[in-house]
Amino acid sequence: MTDLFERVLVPVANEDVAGRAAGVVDEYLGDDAEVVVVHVVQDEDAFADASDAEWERFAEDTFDAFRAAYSDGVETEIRHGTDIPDTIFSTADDVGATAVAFVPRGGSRWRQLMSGDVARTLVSDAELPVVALPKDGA
Amino acid sequence: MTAGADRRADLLANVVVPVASEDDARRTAQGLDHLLGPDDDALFVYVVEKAGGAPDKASVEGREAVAADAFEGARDVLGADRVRTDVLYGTDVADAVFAAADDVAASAVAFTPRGGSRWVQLLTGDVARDIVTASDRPVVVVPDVAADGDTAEEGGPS
Repeated sequence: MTDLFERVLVPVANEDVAGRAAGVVDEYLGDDAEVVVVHVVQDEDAFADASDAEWERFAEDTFDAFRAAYSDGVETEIRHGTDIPDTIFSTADDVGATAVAFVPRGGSRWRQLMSGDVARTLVSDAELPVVALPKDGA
Repeated sequence: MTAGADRRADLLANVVVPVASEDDARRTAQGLDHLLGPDDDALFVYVVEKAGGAPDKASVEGREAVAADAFEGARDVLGADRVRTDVLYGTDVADAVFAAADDVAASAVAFTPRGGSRWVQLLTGDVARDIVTASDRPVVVVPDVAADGDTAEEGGPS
């Protein structure tokens, strides 16, 4: 039997989502899972004004928010890509993940629209198990 | 400490699996075969969609026959002792699946997104998104190992 959660890749978009995701992941994965948190920086003109240093800081803030709410240590990855689900899957491949876990429901309505598209693509293009964890827990 | 490991095992302990055809059921069962432990239970469900108004009896019987074939496929792959089955009736597929998951206090809903039938292709669209974003319990998307031709492990003795 393959352990679904032996090494889990958790994509997080920002600080807000990261804190919530950490709590949910902690509840479902427990202490023994290896967690790799990935933040994908989209290469889009809209964000061209921000410098690399700003993006790095944004990502680190995201990781710090996750760590603060998670009971164990985590590895982190910053990736760049125009297609978020695609980038998540190639990261999963690179880090040897056994599953991708994410919390599909975000906060603001805009974020929900974004995560709805990403969620749908993560589901339809899944090349390894993808687990959507409910925000409100058990 | 085994608490974490137990919770991980629990995720698939009592899983509800919506399927649309025999092919879909077999592919999903094959994907689950690697993930389910010997004590884990899978409830395979087939939703007969009712548009509202008086259902066409012949068409309902036709769908029930498809369900029976799908369930047989699941049992063939996973073994009858790990497979339970139920035919559901409802106007909304996702809602019917959630209601069933609620009834059995499912640990998760699991499905394979890719397959041949038109209905299964619908699963990659709004229905899949609904199931994933509206679920109040974990949803496990099981990759279609047959399509890629490569599996995590070779199909040896388990």
